[in-house]
Amino acid sequence: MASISGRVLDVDGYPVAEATVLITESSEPHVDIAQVTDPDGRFSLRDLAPGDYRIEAHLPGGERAEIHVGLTYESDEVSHDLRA
Amino acid sequence: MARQKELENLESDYVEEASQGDAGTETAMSDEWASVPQAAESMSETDFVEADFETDAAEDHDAVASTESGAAVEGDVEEAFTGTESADATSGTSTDELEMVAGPNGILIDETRESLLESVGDNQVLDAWYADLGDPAIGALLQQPETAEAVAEVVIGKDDRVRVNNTTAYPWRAICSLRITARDGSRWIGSGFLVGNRTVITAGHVVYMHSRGGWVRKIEVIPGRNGSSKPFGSCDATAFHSVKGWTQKKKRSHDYAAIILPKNCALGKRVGFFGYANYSFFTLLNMLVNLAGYPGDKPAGTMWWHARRLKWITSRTLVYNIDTAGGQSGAPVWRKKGSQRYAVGIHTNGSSGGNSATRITKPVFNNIKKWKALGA
Repeated sequence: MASISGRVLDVDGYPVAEATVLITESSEPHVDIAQVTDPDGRFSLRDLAPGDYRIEAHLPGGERAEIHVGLTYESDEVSHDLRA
Repeated sequence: MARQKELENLESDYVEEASQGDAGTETAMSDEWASVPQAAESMSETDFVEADFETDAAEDHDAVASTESGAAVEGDVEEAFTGTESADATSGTSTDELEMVAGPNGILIDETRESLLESVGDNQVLDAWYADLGDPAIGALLQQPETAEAVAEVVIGKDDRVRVNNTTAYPWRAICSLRITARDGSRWIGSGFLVGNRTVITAGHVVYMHSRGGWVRKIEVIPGRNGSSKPFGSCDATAFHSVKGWTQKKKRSHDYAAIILPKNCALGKRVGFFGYANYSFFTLLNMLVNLAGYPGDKPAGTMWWHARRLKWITSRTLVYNIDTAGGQSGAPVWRKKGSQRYAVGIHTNGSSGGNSATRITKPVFNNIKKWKALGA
């Protein structure tokens, strides 16, 4: 299955720990669970079916970031940072 | 009238099929419904005892007596308990079916949107219900132009969720924020709900993550959490239960599980717990249901509620247009009937084509009952 990973960064480009990362829109059904970023701001969403996804990060300070990612193949491993 | 007769026949077929599956303990299907405990290497001696008991008990799918009148029509019912906590034992309600959160509840149920979906017709509903099912069938259903148009109209809209501020009132205090540490050290948030003194029901993917090493390492369970406030404290749990259909076959229709709290952490005794019910297709049809949990797109640790009518009922899932987001996996989908609350589903999936829950069918009901006994 495909995956999307990356880091959550603040407006200055520093990694943000304790941000929640979740899929907010997708062309495919997905489990409704959210990941919490590690001390380096990293996240990794796995087990995704090919399709289009909107990923959001919600930072502890209330800021928000989002990306749109398209996964074409089951073997896709896309890396993309989320910057507030 | 002929259509009604046809529906009744289909319902009977479904019931017989389910009964055969329940009784056949040697079949692959019954194996999928067998409850499995957490991995042996991470279990305590006490957990091993529970596992043995659970394996044996999982084969028992006899009907459960109901305490509710009319149960022969509606299915099996396990009653709720409001807890010993005295303050705000129940929240105010404006109707027999909807929870009162804030403002007039009528605003939250947009009947215009409801009627649009009703135009889809019961042929398509039955196609989804009768195809044995899960998301592929729902996906196929949604590809039909008429359905897709109706769904898009409903799902693409404003966020109708309402924040629950009074989380110390029942039933809100029986809903739990979950902070999960996976086997690989990654951390996640989810939701769950108490069904007994020490039993929290949630999604299978909350306790068993296939791509993260299987059984999670630990879950902090926080009932009635309200932001940074933990009004009833919290407990770290390490004993988890699910079914082989999820842990071994990863079937979406078997995505449900239980967290058994430590023996010194009988949170349900204090805050109360939900009842749960295995209702028939016709009882569920068009039922108004509530859903509340802890979404990750809102301020950390805040509880959010929404309610709508069920849109599709498959043999193993419930589909609805209730707004949800990541973090609400494991949240209860419940029916309010007078002052009683009965969970009818366990929220698991989001999708632009409709959010969905694992339906509390007969085998699910029986496993929840066994897990409730484990945490008595």
